[in-house]
Amino acid sequence: MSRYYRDGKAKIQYIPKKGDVMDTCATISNKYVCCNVQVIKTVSNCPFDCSYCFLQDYLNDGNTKVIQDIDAIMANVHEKVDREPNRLFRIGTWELGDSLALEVQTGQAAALIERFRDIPNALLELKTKSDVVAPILTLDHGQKTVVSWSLNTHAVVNAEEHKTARLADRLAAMKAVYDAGYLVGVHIDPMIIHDNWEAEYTDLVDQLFAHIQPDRLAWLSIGSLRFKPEMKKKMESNFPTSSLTAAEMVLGDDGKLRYPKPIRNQMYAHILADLYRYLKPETLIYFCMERWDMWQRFFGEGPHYTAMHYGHLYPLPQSIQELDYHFARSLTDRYPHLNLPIPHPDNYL
Amino acid sequence: MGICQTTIAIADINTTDYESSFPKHLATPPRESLVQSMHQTGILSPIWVTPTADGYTLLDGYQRLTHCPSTHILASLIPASEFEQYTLMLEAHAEKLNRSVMQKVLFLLNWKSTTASLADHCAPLGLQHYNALLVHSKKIAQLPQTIQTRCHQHALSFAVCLRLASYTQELLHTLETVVASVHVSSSNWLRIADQLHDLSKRHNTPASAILAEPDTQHILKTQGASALIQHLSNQVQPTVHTVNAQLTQLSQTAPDGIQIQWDHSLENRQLALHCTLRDPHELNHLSQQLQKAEPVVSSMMALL
Repeated sequence: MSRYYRDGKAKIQYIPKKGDVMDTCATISNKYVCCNVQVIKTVSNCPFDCSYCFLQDYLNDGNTKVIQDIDAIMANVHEKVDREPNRLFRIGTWELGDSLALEVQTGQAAALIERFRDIPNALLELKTKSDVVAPILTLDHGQKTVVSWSLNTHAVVNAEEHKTARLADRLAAMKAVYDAGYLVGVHIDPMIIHDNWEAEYTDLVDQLFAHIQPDRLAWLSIGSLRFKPEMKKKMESNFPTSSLTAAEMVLGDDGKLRYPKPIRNQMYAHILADLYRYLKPETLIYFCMERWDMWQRFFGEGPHYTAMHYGHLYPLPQSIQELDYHFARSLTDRYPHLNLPIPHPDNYL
Repeated sequence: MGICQTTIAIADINTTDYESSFPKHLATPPRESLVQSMHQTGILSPIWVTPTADGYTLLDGYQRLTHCPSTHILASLIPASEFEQYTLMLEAHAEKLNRSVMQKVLFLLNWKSTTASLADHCAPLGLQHYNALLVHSKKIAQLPQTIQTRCHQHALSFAVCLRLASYTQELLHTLETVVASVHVSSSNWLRIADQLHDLSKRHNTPASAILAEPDTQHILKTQGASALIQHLSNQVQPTVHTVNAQLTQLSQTAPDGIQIQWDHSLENRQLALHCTLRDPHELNHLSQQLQKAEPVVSSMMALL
């Protein structure tokens, strides 16, 4: 075991697949809406060093581990997706690490992209804060892989997301991937309150859509800074100059600290207004790990209904499974050439 | 001095200190494989005890002891000499330095003495195998003596000591000035420390400057520690404080007989309306009062 948090980031250890590697994203909670994405745990730990990263508290074994046996991983994937051929599975590789940061060394993402191309009812999501896209640009992906970026403002990237690609480099990589025909995803998460945050997030949205058109934006998620209370001391110890832990926060029902709801409301209203200057109503926007009533406020038909105001097509989901169904609808409607299974609520609810 | 291994009568082993220090262990069932192995092959790894005037005190091996199929058990006797038990215990756990070991160290610290300074306790932990622990222990040892004494007086946990050790010396000295001026319980003392830490970090200001604010000083001198905590809490959570103040004001306009409550963290968007009914005939009146409450309820919900 690595004695110190950063020790294990330096060296990759290749390990065999042990047990089930595919599961539903572990953040599911009954008071918070999650998107029901599936995750395959192909990598554990990350070379980047974000001050808010939960891995600094989550990983017992700090080594960077990569499962090398793609056949075994895919056997696990097929075992699950073949059982429900009429349901569309979104499957990510980012739960315990970055999907592309180690691609030059491992070639894992490229191998998965080629395998997912031929699965009729699944999309692979690679989520990254890197600009390592060269190894995947020329692949025959069949648009069955969504390459996603976790994006944040210049200030947050520079102050909190250490060793990651800078914002301009991420956006340039996103454009390269977009130009290579991939679907792309965006995760503006975690939104962080900092000096001049409104203008900074507006600038981020403007820069994003200066690099890509919304037509192949498969989905976009928004979330705010959150961490378990026990992580506070670790963050302060690992990142003494970061001021994230000194912000005003409250404890949620999922045991995580977040900005108080009035502040989150302000942040989400701001970013949604910015996004809808560019987005089409059929683009699926969702919150990551937010409360039901927050969804009601922004996606329901209450007095605020920001998204509906902008023409957002999808009604407030009544369950996590219904949100999953909306994802499938959005994708099949917008990308009919992918021949994804026609979604029916019965297959999701 | 070294470790002596011998077989001792289970009846002579006192587990009271251990049980009070590790209540979670009592609730955790032993691994099935452990119980099976003990029955098939006996106990291969001796438990740890230290001699006392009337027998032995258990240091490690509670599950093995309580599920031992025999009346006697193999035990390593840890000499009760000053500090030696710590180093020997830690040596035994060299390969698995983890939270469990940290807990046991805490137990030993608590069990051994509450009068010696933490610096004294930490000194013998300077073994190469325990770098992480040593780092933590050194941090604790650097706490001002007055804080260390307070940690002992209040039997604060190792984790809390570590938290305090992560705070600046300036904050810790400021904290002592609070204690010097008003009576503060251990829990309030920690809350004040946490609040000063957060505010100091947020505003990039020394803790002493926060405490020196005229209104803060006034509250401290005239109203005591609890009021100070509330005052600092309002500064730590200004948004929550402001919205709660608005909600309080609105709730006071509720019709007679109806009390409105809410989650003060503002996370749960719901109100609880409380009313008391003494007679079924009051139902009609209550119903009317509830109708009258609608505007205030709507205004409050809009803030949540």
